[in-house]
Amino acid sequence: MGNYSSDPNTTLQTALDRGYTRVRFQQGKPILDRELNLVADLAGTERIAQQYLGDGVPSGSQGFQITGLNVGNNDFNILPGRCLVGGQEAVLAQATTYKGQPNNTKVQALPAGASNVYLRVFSTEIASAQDSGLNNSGDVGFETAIREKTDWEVLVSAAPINAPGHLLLAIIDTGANTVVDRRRTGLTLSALDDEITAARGSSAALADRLTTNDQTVTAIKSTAAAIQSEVTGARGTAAQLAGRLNTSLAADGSIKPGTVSIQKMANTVFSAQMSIPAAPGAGQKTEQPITILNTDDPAFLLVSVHYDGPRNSIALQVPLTSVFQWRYQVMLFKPANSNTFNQHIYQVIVENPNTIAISVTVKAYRLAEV
Amino acid sequence: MKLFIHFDEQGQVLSVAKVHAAGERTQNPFLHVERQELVLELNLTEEFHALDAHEIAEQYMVDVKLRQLTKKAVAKEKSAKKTARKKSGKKPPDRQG
Repeated sequence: MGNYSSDPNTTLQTALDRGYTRVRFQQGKPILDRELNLVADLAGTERIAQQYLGDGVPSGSQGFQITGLNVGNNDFNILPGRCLVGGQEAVLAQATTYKGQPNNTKVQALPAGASNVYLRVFSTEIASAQDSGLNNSGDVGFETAIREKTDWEVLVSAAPINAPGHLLLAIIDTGANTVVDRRRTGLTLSALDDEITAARGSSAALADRLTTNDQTVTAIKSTAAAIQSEVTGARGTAAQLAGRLNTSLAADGSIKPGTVSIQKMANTVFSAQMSIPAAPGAGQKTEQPITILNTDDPAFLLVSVHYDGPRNSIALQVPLTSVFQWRYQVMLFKPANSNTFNQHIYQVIVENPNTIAISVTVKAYRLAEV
Repeated sequence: MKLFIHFDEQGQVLSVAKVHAAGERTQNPFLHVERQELVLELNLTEEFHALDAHEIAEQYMVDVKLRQLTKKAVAKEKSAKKTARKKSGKKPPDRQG
């Protein structure tokens, strides 16, 4: 380190901590090395670049791109260009290699498999020992101020490095022999502006698109409101819907007993009370055909035949039973002047084996097929 | 509601249907009857509404000429008067109005 009255880095940090932004010299006062150094450090661009630009490569630069992985030779190429890391700009004038880079003290055999390639940027003090021009041989003939140089090295590490001053350049895989570029490129404000303009168009065009989108959103909102209104109108409120569902559905989703009746599922196609003539004699029976439906389509019928009367009002000492039978019958019908049978006549045939006439009620419901 | 009376050529009621509901093509449940048999369609009045179908069949017969139901006792009485007129050779009284 140079011969300073105060470490420049410490002096700068102390000034920043106190909110100082400039140094003002006064007449008749001596000029101190630490104050001159602070002037330069406060006016430097590193802090602005680090905090407001970030790390990356300027637009159009191949700076520090890693290519040409050569696993057998434990080497790869580093392309020339510039790269900003921690506010410091590393510059590589000519392409070089991992092994051939200027600062190669940390070069090692490439790890097996995947590993990370970092650019580490750091400052190096240059005195007259490294640069004889700093001896001021043309006038005072000795070294006065020394210089600080932004230096760099490319490192390979299987483990991630999160320390300041390090930028991930690429991920290499010696097994697959691949290189994946991980640099942030295009770190130029004008290029960013161009990219944004290309993506969104001019401000006016963007405004038009947003206006169009606003109109679309308004139309969608209007449609959604109409749909919501229609749904609410159809089903009622959520509470009303829940009430209706609770009326017919049990907690496990099954239909409550008594919810579904034949009348709710099917249409009445026939309902009539019919008299059935008495049987001509004991052991004989009469048959009464009753037409319940006339159609040529398949019919899924639910039929009930219920005895109505006569009901004997005299109380007997012994139980008494009486029976009648009924069955389906389908009659095909060919109307006059028709070439084909085009009607199915669905009938119920009631048989009465009793020697008295009876009345029965015949009801028929038809289930819709689809 | 309709009342359908299935009867023979003498007006004897064979079967009765009190139809509460039926399709257009099956209003008459006695769709096919014998040649000498007929079906009479009437509105179901309160009188017949109160009776079971078999009771209508038992208690009424059809006046074939007038095409209407008549109580069997009245029908028998008319038939007896007709027979008496034939025997006496008298003409039936003129209809009024």
